[in-house]
Amino acid sequence: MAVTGSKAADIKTRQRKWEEWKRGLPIYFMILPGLLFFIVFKYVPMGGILIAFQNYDPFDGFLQSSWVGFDHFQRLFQDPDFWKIFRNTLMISALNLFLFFPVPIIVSLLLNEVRLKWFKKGAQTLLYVPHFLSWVVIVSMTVLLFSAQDGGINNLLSTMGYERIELMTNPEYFRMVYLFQVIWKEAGWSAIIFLAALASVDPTLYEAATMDGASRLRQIWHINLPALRSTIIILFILRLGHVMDTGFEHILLLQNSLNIDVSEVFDTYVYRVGILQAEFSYTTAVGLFKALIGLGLVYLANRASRKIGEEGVY
Amino acid sequence: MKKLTALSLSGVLLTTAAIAGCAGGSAVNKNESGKSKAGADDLGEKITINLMTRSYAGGGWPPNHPVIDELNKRLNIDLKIEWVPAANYPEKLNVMAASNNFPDVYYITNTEYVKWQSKNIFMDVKPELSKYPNIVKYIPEESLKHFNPKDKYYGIPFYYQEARDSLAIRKDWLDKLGLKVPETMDDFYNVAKAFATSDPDGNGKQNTVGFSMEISPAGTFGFGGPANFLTSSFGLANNWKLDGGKLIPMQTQSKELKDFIGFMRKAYAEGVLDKDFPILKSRDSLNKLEAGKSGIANVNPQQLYVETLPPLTKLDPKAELVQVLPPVGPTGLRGTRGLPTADKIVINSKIDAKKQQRILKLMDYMLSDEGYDLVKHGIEGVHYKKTADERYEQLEASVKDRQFLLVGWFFKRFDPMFLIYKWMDPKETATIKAYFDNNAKYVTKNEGFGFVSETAIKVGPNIDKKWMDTMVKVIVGQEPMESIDKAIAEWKAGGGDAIIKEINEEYQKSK
Repeated sequence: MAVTGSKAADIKTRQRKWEEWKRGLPIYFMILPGLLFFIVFKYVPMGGILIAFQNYDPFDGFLQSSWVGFDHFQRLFQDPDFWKIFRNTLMISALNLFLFFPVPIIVSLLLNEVRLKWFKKGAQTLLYVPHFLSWVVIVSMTVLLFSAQDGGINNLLSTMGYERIELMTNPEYFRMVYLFQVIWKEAGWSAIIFLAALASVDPTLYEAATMDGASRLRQIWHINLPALRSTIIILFILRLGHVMDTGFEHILLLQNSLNIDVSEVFDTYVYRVGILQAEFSYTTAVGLFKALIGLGLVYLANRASRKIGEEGVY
Repeated sequence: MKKLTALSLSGVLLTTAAIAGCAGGSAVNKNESGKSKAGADDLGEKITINLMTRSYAGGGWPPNHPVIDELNKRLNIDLKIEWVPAANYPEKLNVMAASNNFPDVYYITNTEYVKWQSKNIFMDVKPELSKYPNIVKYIPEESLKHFNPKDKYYGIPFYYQEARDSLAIRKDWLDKLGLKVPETMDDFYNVAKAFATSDPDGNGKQNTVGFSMEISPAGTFGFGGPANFLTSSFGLANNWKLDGGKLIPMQTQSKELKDFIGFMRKAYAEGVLDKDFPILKSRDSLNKLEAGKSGIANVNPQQLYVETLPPLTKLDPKAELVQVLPPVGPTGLRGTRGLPTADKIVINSKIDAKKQQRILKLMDYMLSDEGYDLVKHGIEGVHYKKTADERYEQLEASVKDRQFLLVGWFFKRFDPMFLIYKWMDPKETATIKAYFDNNAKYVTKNEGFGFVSETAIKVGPNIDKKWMDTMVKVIVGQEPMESIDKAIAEWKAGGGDAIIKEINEEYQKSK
């Protein structure tokens, strides 16, 4: 008796599940375009990774090109410039992760404290507009202002009797120029997501804090930062996945013979060797190597974040 | 979605067409392919031709350009041109190679041409040339042979003037400072130094440079800009130099390099050489001349009256340019690095034979008297008009249409005056010709030109670039003079030795 009862219940739940599924059908259909997008544009091209293990000749195609195993990876690790490029890539990523990454958070915290609505709006617009300029424009502007011979700032300096600064060619300045340009272009734009997170903070928390006598700084520390914590962690993990992607265009534009020792990164190397010298297999191997490192870092960071009790990205 | 529908639609159409074709009978098809082998000169059928070439400032033509319309009419073709900015051209070719999908006929840079020659993607035009008298007449055989295996011509050369660019100097600046046109290297240095420090433009500010130059991104041709005219004075080769029956690359000429780099290093330290040179792009030193910021530059005489002088005289009505011959070096040497024709126009080997013949016909026509006149001067009544006997007047449409683009950027006769038009001032034409004639006397030949080395294709650009990076570092004083020898050793170890060997073998074979 009891057995048949549970069976009936079983059938009932199954039926309910089917009903639910049927009700959700339109929503499942809505996933379809997104799914297709990923399959067509993300998963299918992954097949191209195969050429990293071939001596790919575009005129022979996938099928006729010969297989070479890990030769291309060996060549990469034996390249005399490998460590230099690796070091530069990590350095620039470190700049991005530790010096650039906190800036938008600070910007959003500051903007959040502004009480004058029109000023807040205006400041925010001014901060995020540079995001829409291309790197070509930004680098050319910097050259116009700072080139040693004709740059406006340098001409000003020299008429005032100061030394000219070789900002674009002295390798010592390269990282600084890079970082400042990134901050100028992206800080305001990246702050938007943090501002959104701050907007969702319950106002009663501030009221309670004021009652308890907390100053503005205390409020930021005990209310705003905790509210941002999960956003910060997720964005940080996502950024770790791109540790080896330093962005190609910006660096290529800043690169010249004099700063090449600090400015050559994997992305520019791939462009030079892969696209300009048409070594497709080799550069695919380099790309794969980059991706694997990024994947490893994301995995580790995700585990760490779960350990400290936050949600990871997956 | 739209694309998908279009695709499936065209699929349906294709199938229908195929079925219809079958129904029409194979006899017709056979007949046609038989005819095409005989040389389809009859122009009976309209053929679509996809053409790709480089473009420079101002970009290419819109699809419905009067010159294209005229060519379409005369050759019964539908010419579709893709203009790719020159800076991205090698990139574009390589991307096309990755998908193995090339246009019907296209301009190809030498690096890619040499690399892909054996891949059977270019048509061998040698057996066909006898049918095309103008190509034979206006393209020298020697140039056809360059960079080709024996008995094959995988492309038709794109003409470069060997001694096109010339050194020019601001005569008004010289007069103002009481200096003469420089003759020797020392004169050159003194003039450049005076230009940098003695305020030649008289605006009370020290904002002029002595001389400027660009670094060629590939690092192969030495230095661009005015420095091009200084290397020979120190005995540096134009890439390859013949010494005792052996070819020697400039990258390994230790003594000559030290003399030259030493000179540049001094110029940089004393503010004579433009401090910005490492970040300058291809036309920047000329831009500086046109902007009145420098008084010495590498000019293209053909562009002198069209591009260079107008902005300059607008800025300073007294501005005047004169030619400077390459300065005489410490040991009496002088020269200008000749730039012989290396790039090619190739025809896709995969396309229909009939189409190939029509493309050759088009190219042959562009070289004929009638066709050359059309692609160079445009259409009478539209781009120019006849005012009297042998007198012409340029019409406004030619400024807007820039009727010369196909000649300038795609294909032309081996003719130094290819951008000199019949409506131009005879005095200007004479000046331009004088620039060319003077320069041609001092050409330093590249003795290794036209030979192919496998290693150079593979590693050449990379080691050349590194070598050049070091030279630049030495010039600005970031590295000591001894680094030159280190750079030479690294160049040789990185593949240079193999390149020297291969090029010399090719040279021996050619004798």
